[in-house]
Amino acid sequence: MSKLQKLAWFNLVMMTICFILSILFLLILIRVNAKGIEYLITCFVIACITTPLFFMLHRKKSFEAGFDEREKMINRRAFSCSVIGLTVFLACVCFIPFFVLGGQNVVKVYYLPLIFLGAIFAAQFVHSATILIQCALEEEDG
Amino acid sequence: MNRWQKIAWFNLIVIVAGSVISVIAAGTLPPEERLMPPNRITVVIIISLVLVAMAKIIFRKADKGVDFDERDRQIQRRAKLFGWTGFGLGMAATIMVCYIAAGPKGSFPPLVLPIIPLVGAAIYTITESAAALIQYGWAGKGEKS
Repeated sequence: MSKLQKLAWFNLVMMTICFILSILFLLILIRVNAKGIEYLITCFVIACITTPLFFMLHRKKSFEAGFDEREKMINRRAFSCSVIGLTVFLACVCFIPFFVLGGQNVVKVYYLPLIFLGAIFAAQFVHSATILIQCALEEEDG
Repeated sequence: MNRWQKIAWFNLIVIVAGSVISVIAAGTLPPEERLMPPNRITVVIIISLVLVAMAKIIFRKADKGVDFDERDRQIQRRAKLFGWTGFGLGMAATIMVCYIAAGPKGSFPPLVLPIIPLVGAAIYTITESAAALIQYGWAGKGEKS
């Protein structure tokens, strides 16, 4: 099993666990009517600062540095597929409820974090699944 | 200035102008009509989206010669990566703003749902175009097409 395949399996398993846990915690928070928007804003600000910092610090050791040309190509194709998956997912969860419910109805606010979590999960799921499928197909071809 | 720089400038101007006009249009509408399409905001958004979608048709490929080399591909790849990062952060920010505005037990009209990916798409276009132009050096360095 190559490094890329191991990474895809790891991402797939971790994202599934994180998604299930996030949904569980979200349901608990809804049940207890949790408040504290300042924590959410703090987390968002921290994420906005740490993400570019992380990329700047790891610039020399890029993600694709340890992969060969074939793996880089697989990863690029998987990224394109994950972007398509994300777009389709967002189109479904954002446009279908609008047309089904109509303009005069209301949607509960906890649907919004679910959309975001679902979008991240869908993109990562498609990315990892595409890598594994492509690797399996290439192994079959020899 | 090559074809990709022209497209990036075009997208950047269209989206920024569309966003500014939408905000002005929203300011001139009564609050109860802002979320009731079709109104002038919808028209501005649709025109902006159509123009961005038509950018590759407006700036056609040159009949002869190569207008997209390995360097352009690398720049485009990086710009797209920046664009998707902007898209994710934009979506998160939009969702947070809606959540804060409605409150934890609140609700919102379904029209807000299609607006979320539209805001994300606008941020994606701005970030991607700006990243491409920064890499090319805003005005020059790109080969003529």
